[in-house]
Amino acid sequence: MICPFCLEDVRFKKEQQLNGALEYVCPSASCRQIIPRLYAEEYHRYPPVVMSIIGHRAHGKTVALSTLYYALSRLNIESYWPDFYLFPINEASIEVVFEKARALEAGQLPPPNPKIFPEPTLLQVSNLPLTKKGKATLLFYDTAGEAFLRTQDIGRYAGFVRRARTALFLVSLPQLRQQTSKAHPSGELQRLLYTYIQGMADMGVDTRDQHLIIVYTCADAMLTTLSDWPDVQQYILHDDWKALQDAESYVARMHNISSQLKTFTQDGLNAQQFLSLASDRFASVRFSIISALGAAPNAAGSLAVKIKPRRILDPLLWTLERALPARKQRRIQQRADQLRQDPNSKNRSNWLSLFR
Amino acid sequence: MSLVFTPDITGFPLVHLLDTGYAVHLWPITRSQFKMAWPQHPAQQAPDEAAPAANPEALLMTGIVPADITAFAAWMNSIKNAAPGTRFQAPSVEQWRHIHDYLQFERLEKHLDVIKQTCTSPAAQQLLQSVLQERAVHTLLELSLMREGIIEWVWHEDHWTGLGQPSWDFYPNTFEPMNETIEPIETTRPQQIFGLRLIRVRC
Repeated sequence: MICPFCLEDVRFKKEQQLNGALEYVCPSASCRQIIPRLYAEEYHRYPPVVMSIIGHRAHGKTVALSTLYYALSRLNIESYWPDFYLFPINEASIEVVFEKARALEAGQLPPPNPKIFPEPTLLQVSNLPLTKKGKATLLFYDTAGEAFLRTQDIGRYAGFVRRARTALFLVSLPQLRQQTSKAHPSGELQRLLYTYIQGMADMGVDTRDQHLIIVYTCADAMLTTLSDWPDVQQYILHDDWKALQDAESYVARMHNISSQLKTFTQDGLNAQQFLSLASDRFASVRFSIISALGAAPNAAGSLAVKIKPRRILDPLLWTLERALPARKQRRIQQRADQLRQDPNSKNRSNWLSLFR
Repeated sequence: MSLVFTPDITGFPLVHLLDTGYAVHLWPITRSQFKMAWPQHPAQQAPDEAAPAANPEALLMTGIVPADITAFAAWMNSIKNAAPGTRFQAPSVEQWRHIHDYLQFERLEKHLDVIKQTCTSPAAQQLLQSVLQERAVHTLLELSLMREGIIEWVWHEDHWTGLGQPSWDFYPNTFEPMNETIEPIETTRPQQIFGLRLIRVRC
């Protein structure tokens, strides 16, 4: 069992606390955290999925996560995924989900995180596509971007990354251009990846066992940059939530957008070395693009209009898709190939067929 | 469908959509128009620095709240010699979208000469020049700045909301005005990206 606090593979022990309550506790001497009862008791019904989010400071990690919580809890996802529901399984997680949603609705962006090993947000999800029997516990960790600047800090402040089968590498190109004053900031992309790969190696983890999803954030500020990739532009501008009803086809389309974003990375950003490094050092590399807010916040970091997240579920769906058995992944890839050849083809299967 | 253009009393073109019975300003209200009615309005003192001066949206009045729309429309309605039996008001969501649909099929070259003639004020001529220079304009929709413009206040059922697609240089966004409205966080605090366009309806 993965302890959500120290990420060690342990067997939780039941121990009497000072107040007399019997609680599950992580037996690891350096952890000893009380484990949420539902996490421990429903561990096998709701297997954990570590959502590993990496990226520099100010590249949108916290905003993307907050919007994902908002989308899962407030945007009627259940009308696309029948009987879907979200259940934060400890008090801290309830607080996070409600507070982030409330702040976003009030037009406030979440503040940046301190450089500490973060408390996880634990969300049980039911009737979620691309999961075994539709159930999972999503473990979200949101740490400061500074944790990814030095190899030793990754182990200290972002140790959760070693337990993830998929790493979501969030990159804001507008931010990177601003930080580096370069139109093609591929060197900075490489630098983060170098640090990450080294940090993982220091923890004894080979990134070749991990999938990498490069998530371009702040898509609203990238639209002019994407003028040579009109399909990607349209993908962002016309977020088709109803298409989520058929998650398999939706993910197949994500594959095709990923291919185009790969070309964009290669030709539009001149980041061939970055691509070669990523392809060689990870089990697979895919690309995604999101706009957490739908529009730019003002200079003071608040919003003038209510948020309109675009493609905000894609990183989650990539994480789930990469965890599917190979034969199911192949089926989605075949669907993607069909869609590429005939974009208008009607797809009659639905996500449940994946598990028939 | 047929269109007629006339200048309004501020020297800016009104487009008459004959089968609807109303006319609409070809562009959102500009700073110069607003200044005629309200020279001391706070938003006049603080033009939006985000919009590059050469861009057409820099000439448009933004940073206003719905109460300003009511006041500006009342001023337009109060001027003598305005068309009798009509009044200015903000469009509804349905009207805004109808106008959008209407204008997108109208080729610019068919109407450009008459539009030039109805830009009777120097400010209107300046805006026309700016749009033609800065934008790729082939249709009246593109000329109208309903896209690549600002967010315009519109009335929806029982509340104010926004429609439009600001230019990406001015305000990065993914808005699609034909599918969704843009809900302001607050309607009482001025927002730099919100402006107005008026329609003239029969009373």
